[in-house]
Amino acid sequence: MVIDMLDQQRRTWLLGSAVALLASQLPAHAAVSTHTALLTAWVAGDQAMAGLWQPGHTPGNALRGVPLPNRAHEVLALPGAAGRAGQALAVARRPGEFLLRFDARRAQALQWHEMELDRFLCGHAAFSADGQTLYTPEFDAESGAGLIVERDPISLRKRREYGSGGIGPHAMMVEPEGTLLVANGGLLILPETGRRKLNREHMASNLTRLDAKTGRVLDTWRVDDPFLSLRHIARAPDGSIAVASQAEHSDDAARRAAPLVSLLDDQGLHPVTLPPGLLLEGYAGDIAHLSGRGFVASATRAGVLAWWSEDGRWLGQQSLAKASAIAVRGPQWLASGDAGSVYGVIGGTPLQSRASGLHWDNHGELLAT
Amino acid sequence: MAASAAALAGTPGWAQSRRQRKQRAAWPYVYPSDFVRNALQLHFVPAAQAFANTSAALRDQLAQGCAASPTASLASSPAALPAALSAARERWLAALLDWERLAAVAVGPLIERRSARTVDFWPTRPAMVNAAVAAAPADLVALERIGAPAKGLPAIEYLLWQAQPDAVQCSYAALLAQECAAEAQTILAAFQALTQREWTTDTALPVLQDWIGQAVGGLEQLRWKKIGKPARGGRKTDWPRFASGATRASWQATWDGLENFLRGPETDETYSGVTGLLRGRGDLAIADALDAAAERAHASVLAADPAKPATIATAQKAVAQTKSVLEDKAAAAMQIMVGFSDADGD
Repeated sequence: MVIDMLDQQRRTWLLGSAVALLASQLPAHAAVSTHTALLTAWVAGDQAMAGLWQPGHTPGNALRGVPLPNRAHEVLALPGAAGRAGQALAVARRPGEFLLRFDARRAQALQWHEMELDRFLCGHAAFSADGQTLYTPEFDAESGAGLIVERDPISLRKRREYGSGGIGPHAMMVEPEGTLLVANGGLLILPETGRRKLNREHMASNLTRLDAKTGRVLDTWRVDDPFLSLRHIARAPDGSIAVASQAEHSDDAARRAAPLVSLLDDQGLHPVTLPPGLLLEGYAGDIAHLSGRGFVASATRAGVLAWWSEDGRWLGQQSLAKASAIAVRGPQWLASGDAGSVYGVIGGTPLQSRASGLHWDNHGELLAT
Repeated sequence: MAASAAALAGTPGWAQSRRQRKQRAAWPYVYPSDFVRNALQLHFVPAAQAFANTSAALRDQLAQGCAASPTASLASSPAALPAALSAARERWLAALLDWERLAAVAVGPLIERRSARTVDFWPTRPAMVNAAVAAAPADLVALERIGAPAKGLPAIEYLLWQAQPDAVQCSYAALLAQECAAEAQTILAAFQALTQREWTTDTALPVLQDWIGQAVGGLEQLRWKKIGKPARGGRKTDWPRFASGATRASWQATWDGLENFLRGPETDETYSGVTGLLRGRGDLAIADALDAAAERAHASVLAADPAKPATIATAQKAVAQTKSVLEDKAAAAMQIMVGFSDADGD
């Protein structure tokens, strides 16, 4: 049943906008029997929140979250270990000033952490495979230098820090080998100017691999286009790596047409080729890998979910207004969009839902409940 | 600040209050170049001038020392402050409030020079200030080797509000005051230089957009960093300017700077702020919404009192609503990308 549904779905994806038509014809809250929950951040009214939503239910009725002082960006589940079940970490958005460990099931704050002197978060974090170390990309407010900070995953206290290999580190990933892969966005921001990009003309983005034991830079890759800011990373089970970017070209046409997704191979980091006429409008909010389906990136301003194979073949697109977060768990996935909408496949069933007055943030994680 | 701005402009006889001004039927279109020029002449330069004056007064006062002489402290009651210390505290407060007004919307030289790191590194780091006092830098050159967390007005506050600052502490405070005064002079000169520029629409538009984005950031700083975060912390010492007891005055001065930028000086409509800019564009409903939100914020910040939690919550909300109108309605209407935006992704 699941396989049939997925095959059908896959064919449907390739039809591009036809899927959007299918989606629009689904009932507003398709009946979904699920033991899956979406861990994410959102803004309801003026209030920033982080917590869980049970797919298949009206978001307004099935959201349980912790109020936050400001928007979070990434929310991660703590790796499973005794006493940590159901716990999650919310990371404040750049320039971020708090970390919060919370009980996602009970919507209860457990540990707030204010940032150390002259250090600001970049919205993302990652756990080591054994769950004993939390890594947070940060920047130094004095120099603007990018940092990777190692923290205790429970107390959230800093253990040590080292250079991220660039400026403006954003998302990072702990690779199966234990090395760290960091997307250094290359854009300088400072707390007193908020998120204003201070070095667009001289930005220097890269993808850096770090030795987690020593903090030493092992490899650095750049794309040829200096105005692509590398931001988010996805990895396929076969080791293929895709990186999503934001385009910072001053030339409007170049920015709108920028490919936004690059693939890492033995020859380096190379932007994918877009089909003729497709404009991704310069902004990819998230990227993920779906087993058997390939990489999918959310082109928020274009209102498109764009799909590529692991070797960079164009697979198709789906319309989703202001597409942003993409959460994947096995064959299940959800993408969030404009005005509280979500679209995806949970328990083998297509799901579409919408809650007005709700704004999902850019990242999410699907959890078993 | 409002008074000095009016004096600078010559207090025209036709001056109307902000409230009266709103009732006018017709509003002239405000060119970006006029907005920038008038904001400089009637908001930023007067504010920078005021801070230059009061920080110089603090420098001059502290140059005379602030510690009690041994004989004086023996002769007077323990509660009595040495006159020099009392005068220094008074000067410090005046300089602080002028800084708050100036830095509320941090633009131009304040950003290029990162002046807040020199003048207002906060929260105060007592251990680092104590270490700097122990290092006893002899002059401004030696002070350059001391990190920003041990400097600026908050460090001076920490030292002056010791029960009885000693000579070494007073000497270090005097050096910090010299640095603040020098920074204030540099800021003033830079703002004055900006007024001399030939502003055109092309050169003024990005500046205007930047300033409005910084005003959004200033509102957020007041809402969260200065009010919300200390309130959540729950410790009295977390309140800004707690040692001097100037928390409320500090909030009010910051708001005064923000309101002056958003709505123009109370009695001089040559610069009518962002609301005048909006009205000139025909965005009357947005201008009215910004005016109304600012009125509520004005009242609630005035009433905000750390001892009364309900007033704190009200002030946070009112400032947040003002930010929301400025960011979501005013900036959006003018197609301004806001660096402090809550609306974009990442």
